[in-house]
Amino acid sequence: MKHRFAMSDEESQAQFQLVSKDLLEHNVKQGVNYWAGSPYPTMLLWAGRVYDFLRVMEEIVGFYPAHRQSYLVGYRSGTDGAAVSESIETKGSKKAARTRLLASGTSITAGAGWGRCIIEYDEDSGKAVWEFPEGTAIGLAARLEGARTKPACPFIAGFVAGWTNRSLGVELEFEETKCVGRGDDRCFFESVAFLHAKKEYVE
Amino acid sequence: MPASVGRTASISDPVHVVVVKAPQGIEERLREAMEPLRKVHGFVSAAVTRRDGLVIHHTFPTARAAAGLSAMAAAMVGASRATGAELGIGLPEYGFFYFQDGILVIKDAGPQAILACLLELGSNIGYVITRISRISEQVRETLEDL
Repeated sequence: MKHRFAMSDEESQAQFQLVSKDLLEHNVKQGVNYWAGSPYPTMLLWAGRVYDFLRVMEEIVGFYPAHRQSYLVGYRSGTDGAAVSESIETKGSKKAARTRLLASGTSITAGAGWGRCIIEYDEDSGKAVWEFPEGTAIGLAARLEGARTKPACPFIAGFVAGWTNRSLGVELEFEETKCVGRGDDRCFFESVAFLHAKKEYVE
Repeated sequence: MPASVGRTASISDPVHVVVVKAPQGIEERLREAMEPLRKVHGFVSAAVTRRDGLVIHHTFPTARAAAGLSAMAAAMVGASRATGAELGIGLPEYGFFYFQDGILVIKDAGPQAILACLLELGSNIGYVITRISRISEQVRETLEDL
């Protein structure tokens, strides 16, 4: 069975209202925000600064280790985010709840301003893809900095991996095969085998 | 969104995020390729890691121990390559780090992987490098068959 989750303009707007406004609480004493009852402080940060974490690190240790560390940070964000979302809504059967949790990734990324995406998941092949037709916020920020030859959003790749794995109880790795930061028309993340020949590795 | 703190091979990361299980045939060939290293005087442990630090094969007591070294080895190789490019002196052939309580030797194992070997002080480095060069070539050939 194949699943496809997407959002309309109206749903994207509604999710922005929910995720970035209604679920965000401001602690006036601390001047710090909290999201959906989570104890982790939450703040507004320019997407370009998230890209800078990768850019600066890759200048020192190279793309691959920098990519991995950024991916791991995103992965934790994805698993943690899915865990919080899971605690908000737990109706229905376990399988339906898992699929719904995966689908809610579209709400979160659009609502948080990370980018509007379409998620596709094929139960039979176990393959999943997250497509951002207009690019992710980080990819768009990277594009403003100038063309790259390698993808700019390992943080998002890790996020979608963490969110997908936590939702479905699987162990997938995701690769960003298209990125607006390197001139592609969209950002595209697809599940891949952990060990496979990667074009980028050939130097 | 919950904020996250990134750490290299954190104890809280799921194992599948930092260590990958190679297909059985590949795993066996990697084990065979690494076997001669175990016989080297002063050998402690070794790991084959993807260029980004994901562990592919290791001889450490635990996968998490291998994950720490692998992440660091990947960063060291990456930094060395960046240094070579910056100085215009080409790619590093191998990395050799003499610590107070041990020796770490790192070598590329083809375009996808790195071989990192931890040794006791007093090991015969010349011999180890010869061995590692040969083994890294076998690792490269093995991973090409994936």
